[in-house]
Amino acid sequence: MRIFLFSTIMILFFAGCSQKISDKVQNYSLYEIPKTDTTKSTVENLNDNGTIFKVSTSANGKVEKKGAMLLVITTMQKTVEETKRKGYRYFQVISPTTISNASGFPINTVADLTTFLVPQSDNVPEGYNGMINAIETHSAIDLPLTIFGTSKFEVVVRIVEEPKYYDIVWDTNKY
Amino acid sequence: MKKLLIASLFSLSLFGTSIDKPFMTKEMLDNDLETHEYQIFFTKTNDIALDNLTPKVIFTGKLTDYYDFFKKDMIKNLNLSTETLTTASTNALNTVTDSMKNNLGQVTKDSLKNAGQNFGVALIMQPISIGLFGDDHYVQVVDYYENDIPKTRVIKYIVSDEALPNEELEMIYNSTNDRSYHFNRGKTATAFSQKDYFQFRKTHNRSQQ
Repeated sequence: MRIFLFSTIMILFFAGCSQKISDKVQNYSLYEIPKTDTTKSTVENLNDNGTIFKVSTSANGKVEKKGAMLLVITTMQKTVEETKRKGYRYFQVISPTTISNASGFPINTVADLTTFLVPQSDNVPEGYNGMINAIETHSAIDLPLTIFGTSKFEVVVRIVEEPKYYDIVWDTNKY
Repeated sequence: MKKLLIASLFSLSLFGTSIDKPFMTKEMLDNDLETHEYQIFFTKTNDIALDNLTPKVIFTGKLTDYYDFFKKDMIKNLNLSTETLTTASTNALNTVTDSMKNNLGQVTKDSLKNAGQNFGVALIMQPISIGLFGDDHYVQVVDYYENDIPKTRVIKYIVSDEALPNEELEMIYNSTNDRSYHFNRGKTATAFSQKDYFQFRKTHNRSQQ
């Protein structure tokens, strides 16, 4: 009984400690993003000639809200690589709906998409919580409730061979 | 003692997070704006210089209205830009529908039987539930002409944590030229510092070779 009681107290104590650790702010530049061993990207063709395909990146466990940018960057890098490998230059995000270029969503660079989905901030202004909650309301990144789930970001893109001037497309030479 | 240790380790693994190192922007400049925080995203459809082109503002307003505007515009021009869609087979489109059932919502397989254009229409017609966002979203769309022929479209997209008056919107649209910005409590920073961005592209290109 006593052991049980002690365990409970220690659990609460260490839970507090772990929360404290994650409050530490560390500066990273874009090219030094820490990657975990479990982060992996996959590509799946959705039609015969591969002009519509799905790219998903997953990491085991629950990714901290701001760390979710890693998933977005990795996924979009992989998408650009895949488009180049297939010999094309332009593509368009068609899913998730909230960031679908085909429906008019105007963002077409990695840096902007990451900032849009995972807002960053140096200090914490009043509006910050609203901005960071955008991750949930945009519902583009799949974050589990506990560490037993898998964090995931998934896009479906279509290749656009010759975009017109009004087409919002990603350019693999400048993203 | 052993039990204590195991229990503590378990608690750590339960509440800890796998990636707990946030990325922070660095570059900050002075700015007189009163808004607490907003972001502006600059998008150009064709990567060409804007210097010798004539701008013409074709839309200014809220994001929800922009989507209506874009939908009309796209449907008008749809038959011009569906190369890849027309080559896709019906079966493949069914696969897409399956994998995106949640996102496509009310689009049924029947409506996709005439492959190609219908699929495109289905995607464009899909309403976007921007209303559920907590922030205010504004868009300005400008077409750039050369000899009366449109060459590129520029979209300035603002996400703000509070409603912005028209004068302030105008000021933002006019003062930003060709970059995305992240504004923060009277200060402004680029979405990513330019140095980081170029370094990122350099390392990425190197890893590909």
